[in-house]
Amino acid sequence: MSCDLDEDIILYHYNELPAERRERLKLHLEKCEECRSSLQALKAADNWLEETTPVIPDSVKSAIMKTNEFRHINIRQYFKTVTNALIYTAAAVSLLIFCSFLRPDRHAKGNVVTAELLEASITEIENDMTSYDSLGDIFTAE
Amino acid sequence: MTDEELYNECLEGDEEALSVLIDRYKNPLYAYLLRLTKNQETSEDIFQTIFVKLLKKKQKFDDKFKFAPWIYTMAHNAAMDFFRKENSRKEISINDIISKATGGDFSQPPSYSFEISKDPGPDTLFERKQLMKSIEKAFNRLSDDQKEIFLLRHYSNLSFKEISEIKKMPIGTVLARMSRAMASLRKILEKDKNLMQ
Repeated sequence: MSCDLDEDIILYHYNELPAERRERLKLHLEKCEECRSSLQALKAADNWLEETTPVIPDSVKSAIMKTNEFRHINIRQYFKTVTNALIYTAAAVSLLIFCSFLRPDRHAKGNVVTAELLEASITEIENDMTSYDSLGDIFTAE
Repeated sequence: MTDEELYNECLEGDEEALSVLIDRYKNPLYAYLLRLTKNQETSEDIFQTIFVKLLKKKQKFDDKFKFAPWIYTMAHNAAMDFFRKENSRKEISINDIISKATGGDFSQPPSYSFEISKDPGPDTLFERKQLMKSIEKAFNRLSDDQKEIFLLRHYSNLSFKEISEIKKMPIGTVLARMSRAMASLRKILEKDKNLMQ
């Protein structure tokens, strides 16, 4: 082809020709029948491919959707979700337990209760000792 | 959503994303494979294998990743593998396939394989049939290399630069093959010039 514009025609047809070369080609196409025929041939072939587009059977898509690989992804995602939920739950419970030990008023309250119990025990023991002393006096007097 | 976003969602187990992604590519990718291999069973197998391979990849992709060149690279490589294994390919005329689907009646749309555009074409059905035959004849006379570049550009809508990366050849070579294809088509179709207008 004498015009040496094949590449420009191809790029022009597929909208890849830079703007500065596009106008020049358009002007050339108005004068050159051979180049116009080349462009028309490209268009005709593309139109034919478009008009006779083969359609893939739906069964192929169904097979892909049911494929083991996709099921494995779903199973992995399921276990990942469950694991994450368990980790978050454990973290929340741990935090609650930790926080419960940090509360000062409850800690003091516990100490007060313990002290009261201890005092009651001591009083009981003192009473017992007094009783034992009294018994001792009885034996000594005899 | 972009193809890349859909793909990352697929890896999260999103069934809807996978369905959309397949729908976007099922016709152009399948058409590319079928016209290249001229074997329906092989084309369906390759199409299915490509998507299964995509799902096997557990790694999500970053912003630099582009899905279309990637999937067409896989299709191209799979087609090349097919050609290497095949010593000879059975030539199937598209019209033969249409004939089997419609019982030879071109006034009825094909039952399963092909969609015919409703766009206005030649005035009569006979002229349209003749035009299609003429273009098919011209296209089938292209060399395999020329056909492949033409089909890849048409169906993938990738730029010639991206195609040169898939084919691992300079962009000049890609365009040279397209030029030869264009010249061949022009010469054959010029004989039926009145049908092209």
